Amino acid sequence: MCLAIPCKVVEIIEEDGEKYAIAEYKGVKQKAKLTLLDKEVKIGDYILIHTGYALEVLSEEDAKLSLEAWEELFKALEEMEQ
Amino acid sequence: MININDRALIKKAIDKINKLAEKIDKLKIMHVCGSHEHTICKYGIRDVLPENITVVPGPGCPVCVTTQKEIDTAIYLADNGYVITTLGDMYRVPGSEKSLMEKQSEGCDVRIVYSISEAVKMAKKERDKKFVFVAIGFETTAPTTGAELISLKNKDVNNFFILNCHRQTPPVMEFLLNEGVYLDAFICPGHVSTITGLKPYYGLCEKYKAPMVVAGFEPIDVLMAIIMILKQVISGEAKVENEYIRAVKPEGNVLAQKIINEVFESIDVPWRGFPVVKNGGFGLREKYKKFDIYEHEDIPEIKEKIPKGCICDKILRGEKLPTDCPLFGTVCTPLNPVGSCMVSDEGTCRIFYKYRRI
Repeated sequence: MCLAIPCKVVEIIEEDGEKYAIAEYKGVKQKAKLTLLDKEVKIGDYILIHTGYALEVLSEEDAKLSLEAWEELFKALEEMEQ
Repeated sequence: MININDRALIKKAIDKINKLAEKIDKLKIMHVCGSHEHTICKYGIRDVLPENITVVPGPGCPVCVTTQKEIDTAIYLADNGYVITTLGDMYRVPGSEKSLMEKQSEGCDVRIVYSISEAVKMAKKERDKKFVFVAIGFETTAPTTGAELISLKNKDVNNFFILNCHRQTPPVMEFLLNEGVYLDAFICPGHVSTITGLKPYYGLCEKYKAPMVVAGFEPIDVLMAIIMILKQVISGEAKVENEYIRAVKPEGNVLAQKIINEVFESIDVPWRGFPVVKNGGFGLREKYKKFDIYEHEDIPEIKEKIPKGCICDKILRGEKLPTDCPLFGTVCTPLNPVGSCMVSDEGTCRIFYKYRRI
């Protein structure tokens, strides 16, 4: 239940006046309420889903930033060693 | 999505940790997230760490820290005609005598739901029944409860209640730094932090001079967080850093924070394995007390009965590991859990049972 995994948005629907994303993780589709997000979710975005709600939107760009941040950290550590 | 678990990058990180560890005496890091423990055990991270670095699991599983008294309260309500709705994990946690699963097989109406939304829909459809949702979870889950109660507030629904078991993470971190085992640093919970952002950690970090790094849940995330902590320790620093930048903004999820603050206020509550944790819970504000089952029903005083031999309390405080427990893997298994930590997929004992029994 506390587990939250990044799922890819494949569909956005409306139901009873509420917006939902249908998102997919390893072929399994999940439905998530978008109530807790104030930014727009698009098909192709990744969302973190937790107990039926989307908590955050991730993007390909964010993952690139992680890789860049880690490389920068390694460089900083090498400088520390000298 | 981009594959961040690049083998070469992971090896580089492990090498870097081992090199940095030569510059320190000892380092004891605690994480407070069951998902971090899952990653650590599944990928064998402790096995690649040098001997002077210890990563200790703390009270990072909301099922595990829910008290026996709360479970017994849910059982009492089930016995008194309420429909109990619960997330799957809570269903099997033993109370002092029974679990909700056992009550269900005795004829009580206990239903597993994947979300509070589902429970609310049931209550709207079955107006003749009184529903209680067992609302567990940290800052990650509290906004989902809050959002539902906000939407219900002005609606004509008078048969839905929550048994509020929500907990706040930073206050228990403070408790541990103050009164717990000796700790040098924290790996902060990634998903809690998507909601809270980094703000709750700054005061703790400054007061206790403990490095705090928010980490994601891939093996590389945990390794990088350890590197970031090592770098701080070697430099004599203590600051808050965000390793999980792809999911955690420094300000967190502001909308979710507003929802939490609209519905909840901080209250002192007991956690399993702890005495009362100051500000460790989320109480319902006055406007939302009509959903509080404690306001609606007179719950009798329930005395806790900790199972003999169970050391969940010490495990939750980071004082012991499951392998220190005489019941672990023998009397206590996922099929017959004695303590709460053996029930949930995020419980330390359950994770250890799955990945490392020795």
